[in-house]
Parts: sequence; C-alpha cells; structure tokens
Amino acid sequence: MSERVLALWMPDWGVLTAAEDEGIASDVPVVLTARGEVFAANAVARALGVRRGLRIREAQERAANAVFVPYREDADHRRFEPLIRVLEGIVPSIQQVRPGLCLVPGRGPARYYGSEAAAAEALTRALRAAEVIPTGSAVRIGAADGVFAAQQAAYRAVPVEMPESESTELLASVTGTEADALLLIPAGCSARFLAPMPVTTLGEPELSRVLARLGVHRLGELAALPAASVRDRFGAAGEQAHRIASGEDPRRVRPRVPPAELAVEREFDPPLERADQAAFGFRASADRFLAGLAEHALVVSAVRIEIIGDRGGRSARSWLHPRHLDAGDVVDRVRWQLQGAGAIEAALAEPVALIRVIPETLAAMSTQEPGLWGGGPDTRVYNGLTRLQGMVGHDGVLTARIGAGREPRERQSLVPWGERDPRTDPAGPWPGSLPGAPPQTVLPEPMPARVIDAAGESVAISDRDVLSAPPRRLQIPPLPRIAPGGVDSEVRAWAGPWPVITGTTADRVDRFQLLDERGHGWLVRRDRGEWWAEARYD
Amino acid sequence: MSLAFSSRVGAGPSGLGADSGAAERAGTVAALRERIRGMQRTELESQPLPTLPVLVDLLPGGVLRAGGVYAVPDAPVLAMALAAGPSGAGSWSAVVDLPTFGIEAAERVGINLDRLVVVPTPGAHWLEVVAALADVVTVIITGPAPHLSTSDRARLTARLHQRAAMLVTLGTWPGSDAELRSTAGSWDGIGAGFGYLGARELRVDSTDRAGRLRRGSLTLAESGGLTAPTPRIRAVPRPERTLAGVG
Repeated sequence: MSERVLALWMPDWGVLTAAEDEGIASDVPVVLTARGEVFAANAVARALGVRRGLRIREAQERAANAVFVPYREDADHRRFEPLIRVLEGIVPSIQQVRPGLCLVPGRGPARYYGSEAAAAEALTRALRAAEVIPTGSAVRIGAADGVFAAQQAAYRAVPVEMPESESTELLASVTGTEADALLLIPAGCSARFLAPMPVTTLGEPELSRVLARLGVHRLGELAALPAASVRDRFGAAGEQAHRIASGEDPRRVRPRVPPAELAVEREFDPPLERADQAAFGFRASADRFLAGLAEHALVVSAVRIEIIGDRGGRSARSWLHPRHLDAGDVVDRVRWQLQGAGAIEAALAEPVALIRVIPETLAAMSTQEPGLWGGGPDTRVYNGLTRLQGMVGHDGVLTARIGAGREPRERQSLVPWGERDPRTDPAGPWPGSLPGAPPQTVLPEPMPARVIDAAGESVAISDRDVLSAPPRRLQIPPLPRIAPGGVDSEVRAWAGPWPVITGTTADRVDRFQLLDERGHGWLVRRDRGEWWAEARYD
Repeated sequence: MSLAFSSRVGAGPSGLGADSGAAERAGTVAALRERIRGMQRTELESQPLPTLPVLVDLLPGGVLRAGGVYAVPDAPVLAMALAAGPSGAGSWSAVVDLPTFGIEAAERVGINLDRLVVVPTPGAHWLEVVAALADVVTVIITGPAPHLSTSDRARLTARLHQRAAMLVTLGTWPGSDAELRSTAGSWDGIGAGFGYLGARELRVDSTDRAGRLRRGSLTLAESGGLTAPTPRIRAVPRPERTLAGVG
C-alpha cells in the first residue's frame, strides 16, 4: 500500500515568476527560452500557439509581441525557496520535485486538520497569506495514493469541472475557490484513476515505446499484465512502472535535506563597521555551522550568505564550492561578500548588524570523504586554488569554457572556479561564424582602430558591399600586453566585408580580416562608420 | 672519488684478449667520464615533460624540462604549443595576467580546458600568484612578467624546479631555457579582398641559454591544430569555396 501524498503544483511557475521579476504585465505573452528553444510560455503566449520545444524563431513568428526571457534555473529555485519555507512551517517534511511542484506526505496533515481537503485548504491559505506565489498563479493540489498519482491528480485539478475525457468524476470530489483547486482521489482508487492515462505519462520514453509496440497504450492495460512477466521482460524499471500503474507506487515523499536549524546567524551589537572585523567576528559561528553539519554527517557545497546592515540594507548571494566548504571557506566568502570590490580594511557602506549562513546544497559526508589513500591527485589542485582565491578574490580565479556564439568574444566563457557552468552549446550551428582557425588573442573590449586607403581616408562600404577603396594601412593604438607600441602597418592582404546579421539593429556591421606586415592577422569590424579591432591571429 | 671508482673497475675480468680488453677499458673510461660529468654538474637534471613532437627540433634536448622557463615574446600561439604537451597528457595548466588568451584557439592546439585555470588580472600579486600556482599546476602561461629583482627571479625558478612546473612567458626572461620567436611565416587562403585566413606556417627561431640557435617551422592547420611542417604543394586558392564558408 503506498502512502497518501499531497502534490502541490503551481502551473506556469517559472514563466510567471520571471514575468513578475521583469515587471511584465499579465496580458503580455511571455516566453522563457533555453538553448534556442522555448522552455515555457504563459497562457497568453500558449493561446498564440507557442509550445515548449519550439524554436525561438518559430515562436517569434507566432507571437510577434511576446517578451522573450532567458530561463535561469538558479533564479527559479531561489523564487521557490520562500514557498518551501512557508510550507515547512506547517508540515514537517516536503520534497521539492522542481520549482513549481512539491510533495507533502498526506497522513499527518490530514489527521491534524481533520481531512485531506482541510489540510489542502490550510496549505493554500498559508501560501496565499505569505504572498509567496506570483500574481496570476494558481495552487493546484492533488491527493492520492503514491507520488505519481498525486502529481497526476494535481495536474488535473481544475476549479470548475472535470475534463470530460477522464472517467474520474465518480471517484473524485472536486472543490475549488478562485483558481485554486483540489482533486482528491480516495484511498485505494489510484489505479482506477490512472488506468485511462497513456503510458507516456510515466515519462519513460524507452519503456513506453516498447509497450506501445506490444499494444499496451494505457496504464490500465499495463497494470493488467502479470507483474512477474513485466519484471522478466523489462527489469527493475518495468517493475516500478507496473507498480505505479497498479496504484502501488513504491516511492515515498523524500523530504529535502536541509532542516532549518542548520542555518547559522550571528548578530553584532554594536554593529561592526569593517569587513575584516565582521568576518573575524563570524569565525566562531562558521565553526558552529560546520559542526552542526558534521553532526548530521553532512557536507555543504553551496551556501547562501545574507548580510543585514544597521540601516536595513541587505545583501544576499549564493556561493558555490568545487567540493565542500570548511569553516575558513565560509569566513572567506563572508568577507568577499562584505568587501565587494573594496580593499580588506575599507570601511563598509553601512555597519553590519547580522550575518546569516544558510546551507543550499548538502550531501552526505560518506560520498565526499577522501578515500583511505587520500583524495586523489586533484586534492592538491583544489586546495591550492582555494588558497589562490583567498589571495585574489572569488572572481579572480576562473575556469575556461568555449562559449556559445559566433563572435570570438562570445566564445570566451570564464566562470569563477567552483561556480556552475552556464549550459551553452558551443558546437552550434552558428551561421555567419568565422571560418578558419580561431584567433589566439581576443580583446576583452574592442579597440578603436583606423583602416585607411592609399589616400589616407577611412575606408567606407557602400550598400552593395563595395569598398570605397582597398584598405592600405591598419592603425591601432597601443594595447597593453599585445602591442605595447600600437600597430601602424601596411595591409598585406585582406578579406571581407562579411556582414554581421545582428537581427536587432538596422545599422550594418561588417567584419574583415587584415594581414599586417609582421604576419599577424587582425579581425576588425566596421560598425556605424567606425573601425574596431577585435582579435588577432598569430 | 673518480680514482676510487676506476681502481675498482680495473680489477675486472682479465682472461680476455688484449684487443677486447682495450676496447672494454675505453668503454669503461667513457662511462666513468660520463658519470663524473654527472656528478660535477652544477644543477640537477630535471625531469622531462610531455612535449608536442613538432617542437622537438626547437627545444634544447628536444623536450620541455620541469622547472624550465620558456620565453615566447608576443607569440601566444607558441605558448599554447608549449603548454599543449603537458596539458594534453593530463596535467593542470594556468593562464596568468593574460586577459586576451584565446580559449578556443588553445583548445584546438590541444590544451585541456577541463584542467585550465585562468587568473586574468593578478594585479600587484603577480609573483605570489605564480608561486602559488607552481604548487598546483604543471604549466603556467603568463603575460610579460613585471619587473622582478634577481633574487625574486631566482626564488621563483627554484620553486618551479622544486614543484616540477614550467613557466611560459609572453615577454622576455633573462636566463630562460629557450626563447622562441616567430620570425616569419605565411598564410594560406587570403588575398587582396578574397578568401580568409586559413592554414598558417610559422618559422620559429629558438635560442637556448647558451646562445645556440635552432630553427624550425610549425604549421597551424585551418582547423587550429598544430602539425609538423610538410613539403607543401601550394594549391590555387578557390574563392568560390571560401565564399560558401563565409556564409
């Protein structure tokens, strides 16, 4: 018998929070994009035919006035965090499936509030009262046997009527106020509730493909198969699918790891005026923080540090660590956050009244302990680079990746050591990217340059890609480290113009490659009549 | 000390013919001389580091040495080529004080980006940062070094030796193990208003500490990878292909 589960689902969570963060009105179509595709769209955009997985260009055609916002996973998680906090004030254990969907064990709250419906109403009311839900969002709660059935019930909870295609009217009692809704599948009825759903609902594409070929299209048909045969044919995954379809979901709600008492805070009275004082004052609390984690056999690889100033100013930021933080690492990060770009001894903008450290990503210590023979060859590197970060600051030690884009500068992607990589696709396709080998020197900022013809005039381009005259000389002011004396050279060979399609500006931008007399190739661009040096080929 | 050794070797097998005995003695003497030289050498023979085969002709001894300092004034591509050997073999590398370092080009030459650390602006801490990096990485590529006192320089080199790391600077370095300069070269595929910068041939002069000059050349393929120079049959540039490639 699977446990009773309440699933709380907030439809369009990501897109609604993003719209609220960006200050977009609710009647404007909003589209979240990730990796060149539509990740989510709000109801207005969906009405125009924008679907998840659509290419951005296609979505732009369908919803011309839509606002496109890149999806930021960390921001999404951050927005969901207060909501979890509110729920944790009411029920002890909560599992966050993803931002916008979380699970609560049903038995305890049902007993406390008298019934599952009353518990659901209490949770909804608490969320509404705490104002942690973006405007326009609804709370849909599903109550059923097992995690899977509860989620499906939440997806199908609608305020007014049941969808006609589902044969659940007999089983389910539907209540709802405004847009919030509850769909309650009584104990023992989950199998009948799930029976008409297609097997693809399980989210196991491999399995459902094979099942479809065998003529099993609905979960009810899967549940009707003998359990032993399914296990023999499909192994563990098949067995689990069979049990879910039979309403015997073996999974339980796994409450998220960080119980609130792991967070540590320290008040300063009187408030401290200097970063090094405050960091030093927090040292004992950092030790306590780590000791608290150690008691639960946990290590922390990401923390959120909140600093509250004397005059009410707040600074909050998440810090990641390539492995896991020790007390010194926590103090370092407190100090970095306090001093920002300033020097260690500099006075702060306002005295520090309170510092709070909250664990964000926890892992069991057993998975992180170095082995009997040491932590592998990279331990030395981790320790060394952590020390280096203490010297030049968190943003001073970077790791390099090839970024996504067609410009050499876009393809330089540097993130602080230990931070997550932005997920990008450097492979492309990037139509209009430069042919040949990439440049060895990429200027962080384009440098103003002069490309002149034989008469000493700046070379211009007509609308028909015709140059006013062939380029004869390239002049670039001194560049530290690359060309300390500047460049003033004859142009030995040149290629271009290659127009850059920016899509946003009507002004034309063209790129050229020029070869100077020392044998260096230069990538230059002509942008609104001005010449800029961008990169150099050795 | 050498006398003690030779007397012991002299008591070797004596039942051989005179000729073979003489030859053996000569061989023994040569071996012992080599041994004496090894003992009298003022510095330790440092261990070799993995080296790209195309650089063999350009480096003293044909390999990169742990603890070595290599100067490649104004030639990032040579710095990448030097670093590619150890990095490709799994060592960590670092780029210091060089915010213009072309990451994609480095990857094409063979530098492992998963094991690359970048400290673009160490500011006033150049020496401390490089010394700290020497503890953890094998190759350090740096921009032109700031002015260092002789003793600082000596201490840094000692640290590099001790940690079996090597330093590649884009400036000059008094007493570097080798200074590599690209003297000339040619580009394929570009002309007066057509084509694009394609394959590149670089001619490189290398001067070692003793002032010996080595000459060689490298070919940077259009894909960005380094290959050994091959006798080339110059192809006629094909503008129609390049136009398609430009898109």
